[in-house]
Amino acid sequence: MNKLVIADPGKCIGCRTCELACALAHSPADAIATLSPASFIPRLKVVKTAKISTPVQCRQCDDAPCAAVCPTGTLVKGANSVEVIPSRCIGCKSCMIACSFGVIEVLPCELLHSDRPYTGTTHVEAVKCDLCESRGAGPACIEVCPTKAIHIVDSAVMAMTALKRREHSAAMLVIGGTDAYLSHADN
Amino acid sequence: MAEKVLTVCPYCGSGCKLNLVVENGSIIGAEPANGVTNEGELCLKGYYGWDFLNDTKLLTPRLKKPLLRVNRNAEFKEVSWQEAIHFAATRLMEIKQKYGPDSIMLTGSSRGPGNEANYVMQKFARAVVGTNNVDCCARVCHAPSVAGLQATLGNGAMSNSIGEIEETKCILVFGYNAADSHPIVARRIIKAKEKGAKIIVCDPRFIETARIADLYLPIKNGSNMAIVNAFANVLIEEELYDKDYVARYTEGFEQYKAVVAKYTPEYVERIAGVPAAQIRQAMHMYAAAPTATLLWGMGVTQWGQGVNVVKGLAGLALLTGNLGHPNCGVGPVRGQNNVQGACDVGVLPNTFPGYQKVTDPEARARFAKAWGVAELPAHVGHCLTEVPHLVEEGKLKAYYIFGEDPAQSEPDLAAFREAMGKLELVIVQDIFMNKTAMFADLILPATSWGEHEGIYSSADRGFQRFNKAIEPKGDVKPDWEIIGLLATAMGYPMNYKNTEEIWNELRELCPLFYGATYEKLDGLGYVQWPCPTTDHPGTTYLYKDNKFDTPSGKGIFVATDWIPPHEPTDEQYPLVLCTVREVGHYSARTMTGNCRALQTLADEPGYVQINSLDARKSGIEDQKLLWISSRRGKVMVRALVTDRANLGAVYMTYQWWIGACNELTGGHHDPISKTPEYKYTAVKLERIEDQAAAESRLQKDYGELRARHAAAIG
Amino acid sequence: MTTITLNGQTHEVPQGITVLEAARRAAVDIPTLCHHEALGSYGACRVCVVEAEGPALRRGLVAACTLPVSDGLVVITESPDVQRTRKILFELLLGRSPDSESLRAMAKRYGVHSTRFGAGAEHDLCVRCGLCVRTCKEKIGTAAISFAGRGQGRNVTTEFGALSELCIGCGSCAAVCPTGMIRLEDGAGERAIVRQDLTIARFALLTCTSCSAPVITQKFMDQRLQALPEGQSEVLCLDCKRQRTAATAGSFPNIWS
Repeated sequence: MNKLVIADPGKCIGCRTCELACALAHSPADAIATLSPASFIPRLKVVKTAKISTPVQCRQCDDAPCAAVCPTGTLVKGANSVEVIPSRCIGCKSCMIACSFGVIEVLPCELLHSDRPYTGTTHVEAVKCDLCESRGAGPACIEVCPTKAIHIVDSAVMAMTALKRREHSAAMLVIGGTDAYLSHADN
Repeated sequence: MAEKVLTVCPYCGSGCKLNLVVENGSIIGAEPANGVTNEGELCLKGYYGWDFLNDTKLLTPRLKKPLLRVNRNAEFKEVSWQEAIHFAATRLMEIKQKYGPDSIMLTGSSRGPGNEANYVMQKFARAVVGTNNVDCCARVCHAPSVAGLQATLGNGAMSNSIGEIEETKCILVFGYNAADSHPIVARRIIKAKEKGAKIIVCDPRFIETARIADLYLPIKNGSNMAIVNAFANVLIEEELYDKDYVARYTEGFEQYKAVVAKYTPEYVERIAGVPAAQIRQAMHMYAAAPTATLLWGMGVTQWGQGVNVVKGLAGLALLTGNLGHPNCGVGPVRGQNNVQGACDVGVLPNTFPGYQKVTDPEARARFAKAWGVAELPAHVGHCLTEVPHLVEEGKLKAYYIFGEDPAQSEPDLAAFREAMGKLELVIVQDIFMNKTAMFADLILPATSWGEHEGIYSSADRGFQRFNKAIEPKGDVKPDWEIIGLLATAMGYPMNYKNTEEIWNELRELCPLFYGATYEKLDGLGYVQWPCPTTDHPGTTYLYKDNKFDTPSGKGIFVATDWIPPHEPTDEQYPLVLCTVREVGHYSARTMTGNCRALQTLADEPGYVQINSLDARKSGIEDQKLLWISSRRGKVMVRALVTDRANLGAVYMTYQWWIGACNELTGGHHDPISKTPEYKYTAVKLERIEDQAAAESRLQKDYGELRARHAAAIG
Repeated sequence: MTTITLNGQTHEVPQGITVLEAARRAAVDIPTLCHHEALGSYGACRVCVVEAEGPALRRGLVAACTLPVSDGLVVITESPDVQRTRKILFELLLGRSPDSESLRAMAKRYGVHSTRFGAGAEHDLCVRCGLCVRTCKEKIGTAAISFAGRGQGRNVTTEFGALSELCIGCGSCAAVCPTGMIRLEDGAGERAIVRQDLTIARFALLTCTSCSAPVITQKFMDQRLQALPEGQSEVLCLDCKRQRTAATAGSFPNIWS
């Protein structure tokens, strides 16, 4: 199972510290001196609906629709995530349309790599959460979130959840008998 | 080689400790430190709010040299410190001579300068100028809390500590948006919830804390006093209050009960717009909890009845015995990083350092003796918010503004500007060229946070040392040194060697702070006053053994009738404007506006939060520019259409210079605390058809504003 | 594995790759214009020219993108000959497209600030690199545009120069174009793919089912999402997708209590 970075909306306070950390972690080292709205490209975006605040980012789908529709093999299954090989991107945006979560974008290279001179080929790149795999301390968003709302989830965590839920269901059965189980299942 | 300098964040009152990473004399980053309140966390301001020290000039340029101009239409000229001090001293003495010392107003600074500089300023005001006209931005913030709590419990500060919020069993959040004001306090609220605490939120807006609340009361804007009285009513009528506690440790219960008697939940339903059952449920929850904490903010204080609502809230804590032990209490969470400190060291018109009253002859004599003057002014001085009126009445002639931006943060800015124009002398001491500095005759450039050291007081009375990380650039001086030079030039020699000397002088005069030595505050040291002796560790919670700091030693109940907000809405101005904070910028934005990362996230003209139905009625679309106007002014702002805003009310943050909400607000204030009613102004929205023209006008105006500030420096 | 010498240093590289790829792996800079990782080698622009010599190859200037590595191959990427040739190539390109900012920036990097060619000749932004044509044919599979004509008359066009029935409006041609000759123009709910005076295709854009913002063309939805199961064909703009993701985030397993 791919790992993924995801937030607990119950702890998000919508401060956007994660967005800044993400954008800066994917920018040249001195980006704090040159950052602008145009070059500010976080891979996660804080969304505030009427009832929920949470950052939204790539789920690293194990059967990723973005990778399935990509005509050039830009999106590939990596060891832990769906990885991007930016030099292969032709900017068709099939990935953007296919992704139901809205967490992958195709953006111009001159914004993404302001420190790199134009090399004549790749103009655009698919951009999404990369689990900060090349960052020593791991995901930047997780590190800076003041309420520790963001987590990295792997198969061990998922297995633990499934176990807890089974235990909970079993307990429900014992307490209420079959009726309780049926009414619980209806809900 | 990078060096790490331990210091305290200069933004909000959470008092987060952080390390500034310094390389080759410049700051290159910030990392969290394991401070008592922040426990290794920071928000985006702590992480990315330091690059203004590199003089980015994103918003305004850094002040680097004293600037003087012959009149308000002339250009500023760079002058030497000698000339600047000479001018200031001469003019101040002239005005004092001609109009009396009370014709001069001075401010303290609740942000970067620190306690020592503020102490020196109030000493200057009192011993050198001879006036108690010294005030700080608590005036527009928690002054009602200070006044209300001093009257009922005897101490105007948070009764318990920020860390205790995590352990309480019930948090009643009233008119307080922790997520935007104090992320590190929001963290504690979330942790409390994780540990099983009940969360009750009273707020017209669906704030972040409301999302996780067990009970959310969407009270109507302006119904605070009614709701608080109804809460008291429920506790008393349903006999949920601690009778024993009330009998033993309080006074005034019978009158209190009589006043709140008519505020039944059914009666208040109409005023507050929440069902009676919910009002009752809130008190059932609050009273049933083994420990319960009240947290409040500007939603309580920035009203014409702010002081009385605070007294009412204190009453709820007294009724339920939620005082005098850990994990409970009353929490007016102080906004700015050193507003608590500014109050602590007496930058207030009615108190000396350590909350000793200026009207107390004994205190006056003691301070006069320590400061080597025959006597000190005996009557309470004027407040910041009274300045426009006083100027109109011809009572104020000079204004010495230090580390404060009233041209941004005062209400009814048009009136403020008019008043500034009429002053004979305006001296501004600051780090950036800001809107207030544009009114000055003389500008004194000071060192910034990061370039000097000292002590801040956090929101829960915690003293912490902050340190110098880099050398200041330009011909600037630390605030206390500037004031010292001025005092000396006016005939009162003041030659402190360093901040520790100032602090030690202060300690000798303040029994409450005596034990908080520089040594104790080394490193991650955290001492919450009262700290009476050097071997005392500080006080995490107040009123131990239910001994209150009132004259009788008992908690005092005070209830008042609800009065509606001052400025009515009508057909022409049908919506209510309430001013609020945003998390990514701080206050008047002179610092964060010059921080690249923070500016990238949010820039002019700022947003007005509008409910979707109200937006539709006025033809306003999300993200589009619009005009918003009140009976006083009109500004351009961008729409944020969200159903988190309640019907009939709109919300703007006060950080913006173009989308300046204080052009719209009015000066009606609480009669006791003089805190303006920022939370209720009648406004209307106007759709802008030609968005392209509006966007380019916005850019043009913004550019011109920045250019004017840059040009002023030359 | 194969051993080559690149600028005096030996490198062991996999068999079958090109000299250009070998150089990229070794972080050696060779400029390219018509090359794209996703498309096959093309060798049209010659900007990647290098000096190469090997047991089976006489020393000379060769396009690195089409030269396979072989044992004993010696490659020099910055010899005086290479630099001179490269400069002339950039001058020729600029002679055709003096108004292309990206081309000028690239040329400047390699020391070319002006050109002595092309005065009085026809200028346009198209350097005939073929990236648009190859992308449309090889990757999108549509071949809505293609080269036509020869020599000076060589041009990129649609079938008979008319509005293309085949184009799906993905805009990949505009995305890969190095000079900005082909542009994607969205406005008033419509999309146009334009190559200077030629409109390649025009579409009405499908709108977001939530907020009515224009999103994408019907043909794109029909053709680009064939690899997906049914039910993933709802048209939503990026913002509304994110809003919906956030709204359902509340029900994501609360696994960290």
